[in-house]
Amino acid sequence: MDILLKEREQARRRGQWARLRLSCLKYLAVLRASSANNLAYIMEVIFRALFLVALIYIIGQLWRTTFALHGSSLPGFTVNTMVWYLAAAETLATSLPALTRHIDQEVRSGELAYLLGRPCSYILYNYARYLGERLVRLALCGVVAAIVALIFVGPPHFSLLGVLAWPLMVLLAISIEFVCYFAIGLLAFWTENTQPFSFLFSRLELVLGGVLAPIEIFPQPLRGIAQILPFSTMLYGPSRVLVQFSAGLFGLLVLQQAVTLLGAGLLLTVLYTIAARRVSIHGG
Amino acid sequence: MPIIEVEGLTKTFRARERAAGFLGSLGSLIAPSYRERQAVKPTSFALEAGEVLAFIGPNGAGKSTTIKMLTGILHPSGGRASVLGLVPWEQRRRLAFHIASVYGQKSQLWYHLPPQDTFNLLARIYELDQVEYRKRKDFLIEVFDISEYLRTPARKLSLGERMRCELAAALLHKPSVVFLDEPTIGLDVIAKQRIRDLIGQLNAEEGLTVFLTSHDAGDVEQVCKRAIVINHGEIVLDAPVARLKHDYLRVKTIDLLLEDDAETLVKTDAESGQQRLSVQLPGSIDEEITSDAGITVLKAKGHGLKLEIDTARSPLEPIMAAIIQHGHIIDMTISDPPMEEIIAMMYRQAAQEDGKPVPLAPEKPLEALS
Repeated sequence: MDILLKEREQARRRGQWARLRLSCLKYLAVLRASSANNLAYIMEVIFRALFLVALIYIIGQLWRTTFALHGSSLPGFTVNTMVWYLAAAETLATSLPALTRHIDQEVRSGELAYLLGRPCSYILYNYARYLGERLVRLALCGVVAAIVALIFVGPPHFSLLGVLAWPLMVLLAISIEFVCYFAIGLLAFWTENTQPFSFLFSRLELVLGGVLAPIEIFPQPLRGIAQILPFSTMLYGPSRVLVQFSAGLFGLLVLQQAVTLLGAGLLLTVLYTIAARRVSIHGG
Repeated sequence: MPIIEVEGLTKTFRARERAAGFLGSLGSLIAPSYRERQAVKPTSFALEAGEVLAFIGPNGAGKSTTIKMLTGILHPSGGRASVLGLVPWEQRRRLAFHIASVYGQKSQLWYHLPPQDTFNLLARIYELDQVEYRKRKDFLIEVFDISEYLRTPARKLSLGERMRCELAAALLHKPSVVFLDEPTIGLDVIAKQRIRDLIGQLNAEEGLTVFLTSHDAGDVEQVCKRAIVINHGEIVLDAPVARLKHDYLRVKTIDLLLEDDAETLVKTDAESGQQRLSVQLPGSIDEEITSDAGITVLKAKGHGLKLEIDTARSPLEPIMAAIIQHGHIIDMTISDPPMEEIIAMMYRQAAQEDGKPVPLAPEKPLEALS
């Protein structure tokens, strides 16, 4: 039987590039299946997106009043950029799926047994599944938010570079979110309930991530704290670059995103390695 | 050479204990206490290629835990195991290309997608050549007769239809060993039979090695050639199924719904007060069935008659023929004794033999119960 195994292994060794291609196709297939599967929840996503209408309208009105009273104290920003910033940041915030709950349930119910028994990485499989779900939500929320902002303040004044940089920054931002929420979900191996951790993290992300306003207009020392913490890489970074692109800021924010992703990714890998040894699925 | 080798494999789970009441809960937060439970006690066995092994036992016996160690999902607390020459928990991803597992209580089909989409996804996950995959898929669709469900979302399939699709999905990459964990759980009689037939067919045609866990004795009788019975984490029997059948699965319970009154078929013994079946067996002139015939009337009320028959002493067919001669049977169910009862029987028999429970392994007696 060992010989047969070796033969199969040899047949499977078709060179590094072919292996890499097969791996990419593998996770791409998961992404596709996840997108298709999540189209079944389209109504839920649409209702979420409708929430954006009320949110952008109310906060947009607040910005209008603020600019009428203190416009000069917010240099470089206009009502138009503020509302489009809000639309971009809220699109990201609203499109976040319940990743922690999903991983938590998978760990507790033993569903992860199926995934662990497959020739693929549990983390990358879940990343592809998350991306599939996230992209569907992102597209729908983005369309709704853009329509509302367009009606409310007219067309945006995005630069071409800002529009080109945005997808890259969004990909990095949602990847950082994946790593963080996935790691929180893995805490199910140690704790009874991961929801409080997830709740706390998401609130901090909303407050310190600059979802309602760019971090520049935060008062000190909150501004300094928000700029250092990783939350700003998830919401503020991509939205800020989209509405007001500057090469220096883009470089700095992408670097911050890359460092955050690398650090969080390493932590996740360590956490997962420890967790995998703690898998204890009782019974069927 | 064995395809699966297990030697002294053990698994101990550590669970947090919580005292009753508010103060108890508070106390366990400050000073948590843990309880260790040995789910699998030192276990050893080997499985040859092409064998169909039933790994059976009651709930909580350690069956699924053993499967999960052999598929690399769980790390054992001790002992050694190799599957296809690989150590499952150390070479899990490599092993995954050559094995498959199906859990009856869990689905691998994507809930909102038709099975066809899951099949395509699995083909990518197992890095199958697309031409080979299509051939294999067509073969499995034909064998499992699932062509009409391929485009129906998994959530709309019945349990039996879903299970056939699950099995087909698991076999797409042509595994050498398949681990089936309760594949017939929750299925009706017809669906169960279908699944059993399919497993048998794939074993015969493809030489597939099957490691099946179940607490349904019917799965064992009809599908497997060898059985390992596990209870409280240790092996209590390792024997051919023929021997298991002869020794422990010979008693069947028959539930009948008759057109006539069931009491017309039974007589009450004046001395013991026990009810006896009173029918004329074909070829017999006596209408009375003797007490050593191995037929016990469990219930005779209204139109319902429940019998327990020891098939080693009284074959089923003549009894059924005799009952049919008396009147019409509206409905009938034949069932095996529950696994808990079979295990109790094993312990009873072993205790009767030499005063202590001794396993009935044919060649190598296991020390577990001695």
